[in-house]
Amino acid sequence: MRVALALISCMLSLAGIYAMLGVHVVAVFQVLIYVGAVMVFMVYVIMLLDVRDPSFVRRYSRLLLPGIVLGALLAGALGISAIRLGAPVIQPGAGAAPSYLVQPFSVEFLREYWLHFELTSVLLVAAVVAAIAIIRSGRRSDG
Amino acid sequence: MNAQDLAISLVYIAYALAVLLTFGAILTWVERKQAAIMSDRIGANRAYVRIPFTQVKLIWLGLFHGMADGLKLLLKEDFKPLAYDKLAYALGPWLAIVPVLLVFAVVPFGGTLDPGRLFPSLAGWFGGRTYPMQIAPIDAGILIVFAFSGITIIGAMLAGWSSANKFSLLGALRAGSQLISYELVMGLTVLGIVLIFGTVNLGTIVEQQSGTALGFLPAWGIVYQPFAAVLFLIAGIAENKRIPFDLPEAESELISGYFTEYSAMKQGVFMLSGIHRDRGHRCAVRHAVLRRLQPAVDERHRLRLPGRPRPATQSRLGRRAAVADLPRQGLPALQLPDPRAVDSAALPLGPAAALRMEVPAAAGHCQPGRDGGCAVGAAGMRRAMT
Repeated sequence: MRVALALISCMLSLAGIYAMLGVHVVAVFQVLIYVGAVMVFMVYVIMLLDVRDPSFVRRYSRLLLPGIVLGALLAGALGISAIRLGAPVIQPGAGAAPSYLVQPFSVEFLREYWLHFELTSVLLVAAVVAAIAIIRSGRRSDG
Repeated sequence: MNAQDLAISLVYIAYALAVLLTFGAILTWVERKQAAIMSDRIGANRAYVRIPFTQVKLIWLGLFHGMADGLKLLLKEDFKPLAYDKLAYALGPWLAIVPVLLVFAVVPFGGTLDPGRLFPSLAGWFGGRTYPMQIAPIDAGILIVFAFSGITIIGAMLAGWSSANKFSLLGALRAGSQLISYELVMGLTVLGIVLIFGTVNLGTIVEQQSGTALGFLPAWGIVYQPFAAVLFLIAGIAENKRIPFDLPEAESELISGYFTEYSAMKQGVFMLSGIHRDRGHRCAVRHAVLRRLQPAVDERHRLRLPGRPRPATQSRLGRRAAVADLPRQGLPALQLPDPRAVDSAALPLGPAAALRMEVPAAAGHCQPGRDGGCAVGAAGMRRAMT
């Protein structure tokens, strides 16, 4: 569950970065789909699976110390690179070009990227078929 | 963003937060009164404020119960279960309330504000800038409302899961499935509005509703799509787990569902988020679906001077919220059997009049809120677990 929470915060931060770049539509859909739908189902499944999470008895995980060390290293590396590079390449909020508003975005999306959009549906169908196949093969081995 | 924008944004945020948080108290009173009316009681009417050094007690229909409830929740001891996931347990209430408050960032609550005209002494500083009365005039308005309200589901589920209590877990399961299901209905009903007005920007939608349809009808969303409006209302009641749909916190079976193990203000936060979630959705989509009392154009040309009372936004928001929240517990009363008939049937010996005389006394002691049930529940659970 902690890992799921971390993933949620990761998604939210990503949405925050998109919003800072002015792409509000992508940011909103990031929250709407990944947090509002995908992560809700993940949390739901985790909730159903096992109530006796180790976090109920032990407050801190064993990976806490390595995590802190790695996090400090990452933050240090980012800070050093930020100092070296100087000013940020993209000014936050400056990218709010009118083409990123909802209407132009959707028109552009369905004009330029309709093929990709349709291809994702093929991918989804493939995923559904694969899921059914996995379930069926599992049943056969059981029976 | 310069200093002027920042100042205006801060004023808007403070205004929205103040209105929201104080309305929680009043709506608690409304809810208690409704529950009382449903079960033929008088309801909250005991709390009063005494004017100092006099014997004058202001009761005002028990409106101070909101204040009393809030103080009680703040001052209560915060019981915690023995075994629980501390992080998720602490995070649950926040995940429930913060997205709900964030939703109000995109809800427009007025026309255009011209600070230079409102405060002539500041006119030089603002230099003729005008601001729409909306904290964040973002293009993707309705989408943001739905994106944020989706996060609150996680708060409810985290709270239920982390409490290590079977009642909480069951409540969280029910809450999760119910919220996910009705979220779809809400989204689809609003989709019709988006198609009609051709935009997802809440401010534009509101402006488009200031005209007339067919020459005589107001161009409100409810006129265009009455069926969607009814569906949205029902789905909204279900999303808020209010009475006909209160399976997630069914008091008779689950104590209070996913926040059984929460006490004091943490529980208050859950109740507040329920109320505000309600109002958030209503406000957001009342702009979209239901209606506006006055055209936005009207408001834009109205000169607001500092000495004059501001009639427009505040009272309208309040009236709208109060009126809209009335049916949420009033509706199921139609389906209930008449409590007087039930009571007199159960107690054939006692005259019905005596029974009814006891009711006000009981109403003063027994609170229809979930606080008592929750406290008992937490203690009971702890006993059961040890």
